[in-house]
Amino acid sequence: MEEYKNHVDKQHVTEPMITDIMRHIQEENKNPASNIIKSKRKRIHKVSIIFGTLVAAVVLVLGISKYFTSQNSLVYTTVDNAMIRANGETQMFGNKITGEEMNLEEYESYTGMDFTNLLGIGALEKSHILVNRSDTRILSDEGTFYYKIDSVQAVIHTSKTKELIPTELENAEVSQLKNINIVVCKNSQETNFQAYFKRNGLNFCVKCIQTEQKDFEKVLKKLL
Amino acid sequence: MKDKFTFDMEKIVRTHADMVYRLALLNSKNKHEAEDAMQEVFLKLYSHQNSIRNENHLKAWLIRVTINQCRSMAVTAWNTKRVSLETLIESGNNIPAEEKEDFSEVYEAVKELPAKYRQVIHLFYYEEFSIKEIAAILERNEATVKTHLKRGRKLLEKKLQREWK
Repeated sequence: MEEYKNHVDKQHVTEPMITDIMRHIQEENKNPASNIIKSKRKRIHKVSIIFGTLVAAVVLVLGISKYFTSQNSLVYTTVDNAMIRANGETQMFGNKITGEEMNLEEYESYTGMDFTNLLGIGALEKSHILVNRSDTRILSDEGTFYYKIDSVQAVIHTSKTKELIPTELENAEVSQLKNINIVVCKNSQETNFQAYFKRNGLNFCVKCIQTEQKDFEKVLKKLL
Repeated sequence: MKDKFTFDMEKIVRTHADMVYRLALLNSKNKHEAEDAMQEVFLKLYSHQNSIRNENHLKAWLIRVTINQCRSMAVTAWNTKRVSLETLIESGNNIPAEEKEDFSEVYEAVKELPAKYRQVIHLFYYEEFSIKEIAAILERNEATVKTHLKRGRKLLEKKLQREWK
């Protein structure tokens, strides 16, 4: 400790240093306005920094909230029950489409989609795939897949060549989920939900009956 | 009855310059930086003279502003990125510390401590302030100051491999 004290005791301000300090103070004294200007400038600088930071923060918050709103909030169009039930399955398995059945492996290779694991391992319950060929050309290629995840049942229809969205919903509001345009609709009781979107060049129609909106959206998020 | 405090700038500079300079030296990289810090502190004092209440307040104000001034000079980009050749030569940064004439192993060890321990050690052992006074000056609570003093002492003992009394 003594060594420290002795060392510090040797540190002294020299006379020229004191003269220099006093000269600076006298300069300030001669021109007090510069002091006021300096402090005003400093205050203005401080205020502009605070203001700038606030503006940046607000912009950031708005940007983030807009991003998340546009990314994750879905705008539903209300439709009647019949429309949700009718779309997809009945049309697909009506008399209009005839042809041979493709097996799941062939369809997966044709579409480039892994339908078996689309919503999690073991979720796929059954599939119906019909292909209408003319010579070597595929004229229609629709697949229907039934999934069960916990208590939620989801039916997914896909086609590479056919737009699955019905004409009634062509002008419906388009939402965005994970940067993918999506049209969602529900019945007035909010028990049946349906979504239309395109992913990897494949048209999708996803349907959940007798479920809740949050469960339907969980399915969509798994898909996208 | 308390003595009436009169603000006499030259008298204040002459009385307290050593204390400010020593504290600035301890918290700066070199003498030039310490001198600049000291000059800034006294200029600030001059413009804040109306807020100084008494001698004790003045001393505490000078210590606090010196520490803050050194800290802000250390974080200035200019200061962290550029050192003039002249400063480098004059401050003897090219000479190993042990070879300098005024080298003190203990002083260097204190200087190398983290700022929070270094300041408390200096104020307690050199300026002989009590823990309560240091807490008031540095605007920390007493328990924190005690802990910093204890940890600082331990670090010094480890560094110097001897007891610090």
